[in-house]
Amino acid sequence: MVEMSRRKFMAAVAASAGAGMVASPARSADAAVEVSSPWGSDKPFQKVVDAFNAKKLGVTVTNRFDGDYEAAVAKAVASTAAGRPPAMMITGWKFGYFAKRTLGARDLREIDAGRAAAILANFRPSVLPLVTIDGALIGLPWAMSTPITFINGKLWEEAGLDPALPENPDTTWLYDNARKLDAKLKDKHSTYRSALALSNNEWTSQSFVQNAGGYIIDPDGRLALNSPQAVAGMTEYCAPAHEGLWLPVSAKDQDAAFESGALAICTTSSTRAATFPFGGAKAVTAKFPGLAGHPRGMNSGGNFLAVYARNKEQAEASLAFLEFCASKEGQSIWSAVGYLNTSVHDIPLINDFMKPAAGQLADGLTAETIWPGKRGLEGQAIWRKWVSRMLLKEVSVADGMKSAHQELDALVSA
Amino acid sequence: MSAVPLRRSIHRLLIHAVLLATSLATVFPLVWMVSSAFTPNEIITARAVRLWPEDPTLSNFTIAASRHPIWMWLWNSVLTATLITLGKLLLAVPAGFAFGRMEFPGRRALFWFVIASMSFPTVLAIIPTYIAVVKMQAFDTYGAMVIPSIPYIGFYVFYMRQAFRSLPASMFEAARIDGSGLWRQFMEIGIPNVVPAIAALSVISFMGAWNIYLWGQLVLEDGFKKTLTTGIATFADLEGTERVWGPLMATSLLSIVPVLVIFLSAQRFIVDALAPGLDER
Amino acid sequence: MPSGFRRLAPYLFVGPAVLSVAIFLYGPLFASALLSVLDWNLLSAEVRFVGVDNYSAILDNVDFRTAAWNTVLYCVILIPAQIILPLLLAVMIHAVRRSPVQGLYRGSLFLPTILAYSVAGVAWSWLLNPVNGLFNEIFGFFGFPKSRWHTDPDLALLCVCLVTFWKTFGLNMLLWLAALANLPHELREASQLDGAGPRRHFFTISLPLMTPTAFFISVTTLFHVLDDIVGVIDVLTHGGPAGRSSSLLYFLWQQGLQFFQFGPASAVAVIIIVVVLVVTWLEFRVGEKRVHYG
Repeated sequence: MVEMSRRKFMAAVAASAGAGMVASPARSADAAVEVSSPWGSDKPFQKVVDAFNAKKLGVTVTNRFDGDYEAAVAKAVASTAAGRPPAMMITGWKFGYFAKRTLGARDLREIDAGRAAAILANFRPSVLPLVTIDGALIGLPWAMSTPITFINGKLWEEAGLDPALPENPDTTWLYDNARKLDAKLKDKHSTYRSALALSNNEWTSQSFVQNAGGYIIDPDGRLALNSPQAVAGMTEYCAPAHEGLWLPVSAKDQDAAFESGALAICTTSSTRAATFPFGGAKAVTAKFPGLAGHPRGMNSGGNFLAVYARNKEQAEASLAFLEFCASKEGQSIWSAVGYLNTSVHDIPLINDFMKPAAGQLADGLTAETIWPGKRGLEGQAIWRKWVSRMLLKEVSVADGMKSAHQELDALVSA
Repeated sequence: MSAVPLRRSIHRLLIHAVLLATSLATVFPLVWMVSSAFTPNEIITARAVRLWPEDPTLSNFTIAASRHPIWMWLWNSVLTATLITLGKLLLAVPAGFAFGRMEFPGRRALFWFVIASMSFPTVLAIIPTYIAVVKMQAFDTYGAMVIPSIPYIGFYVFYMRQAFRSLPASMFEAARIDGSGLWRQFMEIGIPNVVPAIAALSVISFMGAWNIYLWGQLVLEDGFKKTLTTGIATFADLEGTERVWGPLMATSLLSIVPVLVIFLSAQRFIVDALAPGLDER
Repeated sequence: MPSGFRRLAPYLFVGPAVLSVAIFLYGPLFASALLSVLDWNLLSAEVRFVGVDNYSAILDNVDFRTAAWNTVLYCVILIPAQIILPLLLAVMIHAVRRSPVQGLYRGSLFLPTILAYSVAGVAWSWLLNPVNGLFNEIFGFFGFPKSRWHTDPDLALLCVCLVTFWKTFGLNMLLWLAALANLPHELREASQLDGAGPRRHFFTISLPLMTPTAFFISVTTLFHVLDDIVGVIDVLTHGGPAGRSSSLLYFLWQQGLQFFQFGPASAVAVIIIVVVLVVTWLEFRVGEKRVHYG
């Protein structure tokens, strides 16, 4: 009850401050559900929430922006320990085990088996394993993206490169063109500074490992970083950095460099197709580069919408919101953010720049690494650390993979 | 024989040159912030280097205000910084008076007990304090932000003690002869004579509290309870599907202006007041 | 006035301060010692006693050792810089104290001190961006080779030092200025009559008179530096690349509040406490010979 009045108070403050946070005052009879999300009030997710509230189904949902996945998870730990977990939360599925085992995400079927089945019938069966942890169905496969290649069209043209991009590019083609572009434009162009960036993180490096036929965690659930394929993938991933074509920087700096026309090519999340092509870079898109002579094995990333509410009323109210999110109406509003369509509904692509991503989805996508064990939060940080070390030549790729394997092995078995 | 004055003025000119260069270099990182805050958001990333806003606008402030409750953040910053400052003064001023002007058993030990706390980095206490805040259900309240930030008073107690000690003993002697009690000596003679010291500490404390970042990040959850400095961190966008540099810079500027005004209006005062505080009399 | 109250009064004056320090600063230190021998993550119902396991795990951890070594480097670089450079600036400002622009110098040099770390981080990542940041643009213009700055494993620590220094030197500068302003005028005149040059005057007369300030600054700088680095690392490098700019306190912060490993994090805290106590004791042993606060 204290909670209710606090929220109403905040809603009133929001209204009187005219601060633009769309928080329609809860009607007193409604069940109030708060969703912790990584999106603020100006994002399509808020529109989904607003459209749901406008239906007046007796449930009022509020969207609470909690920062990126890591920050939101940290806050969830604190509020769960304080005895008031968020009713719902959106979490990257890389933290699936942590959400289930440490935070206690609920099995939707345990709340109401019939309604859960009806909700999930809206999604492609291939994405359901992503939200199935320890045999429990812990949420809605809500958002999915995959890394693709963005090319600054103007720089590409000025370097005299072939504007017809291959359907399935490989690294030989990409690195070769990056070298040509660099030779042509270096020190002769007002904005151009660097040819290529593959994103220094756990995600694109995983794409390389898989495109070389390896795994981070193999289908039997074992860590597989010491396989020759994984080493081959990482060698190819690090090659442009060691050659000087790629200056590894943070994601924010990389985006800023690309948008200002300093960076010619970058591989990053397909969600950037919502902005990159329309800014100064006038980006064109292609699929993520494969490795010549290997079948492609692209991965995806994204997040799921899970229920944490312990009491029956809140849990059922949460299901009502999930039903709307899964419906064609909800999915259509949602698609504007630039995620792939994981549902069975027929929803048009937001623009043609999304086509390579849709192509990768049609080819078949694996999940991003879901770090097992109750210390799964650390797995990502450790893998990132070793990726950085290999990129910066602090260790050789072979040694780096061996050490990463050892350190992660100790962790996931904890 | 004008050699000496000439050498002197060359010397002086050199000092001015060095100081001017250092001042410019120090302020420079903020130039981009100011120019970006007034540059239309759409064209900010078009150029890496911008020293002057093209097409100056206030739109970034309105965009920021439409996305985040920045005026609420401003109010929260003022509120928490004021409460923390008041709390520190309420603890430190009487303690400084007693340590400086009274004789009592254990004075030295208690004084060092308080002073030694100056040597604890604040991060050290963070985990147990965080657990306590969470377990006491105080998570995400102003109290959680304010109360644990108050007891870092080592410097304040030390400084107030020096300030009270520097007052001539005869002042208090006269009052004692007049029959004033300790409380009246404190209120009527002590405090009125250390007002500059209290003011200097208030300014220092307010500026410090205004910029509390790590702790605020940790315990303030609700978007409406954030302070400016913690709110700025939430501009980091998950997808990066849009450019927020303009509104971010506008909000950053907003977070600087109040403390800057306070500092500039009080700076002379702070330097004067700090002087007697640290020297032994 | 009853004599009972007279005897009690001092304790009423100092009580609130002493109690709050005991509860909020010393309390957590003891709590850390307790947590450091447990395996517990805030959410798990079971609390396991693990003895010195957390300590041995931490001491075996390569990242911890890197962070410890980095902390030594940070102290070696930043503490002298934070004490000496602000003194030089203060002496120069003091020398032109009658000039109308001295307030401007003082204000601009102090400006970064009042910024929040989040704001400082944004400004510096713009300057240091290795692809198209301003530093590299300027280097390129003059034909120098470009640097990777904070993303270069060998430079990251120095970049953190630079930003930390920029962000914090203002307070020490003010303290030195205050001490200089407080030096008695007669001394300066007397030594000028003796024919002592300004340099000799400074080292033989001014500096010795400022030892209380010097001692105070050196003690507070040591401990503020440790805290200040954490803020800068958090907004600039996140300890990277690959842990090369991490410090002990940042390592503690990550273990405790990003990964919720309270046991190992508290073990780090206890190790830091021991080191801090030893260093404080040494500093006072050395300092007290020259200064008396009595």
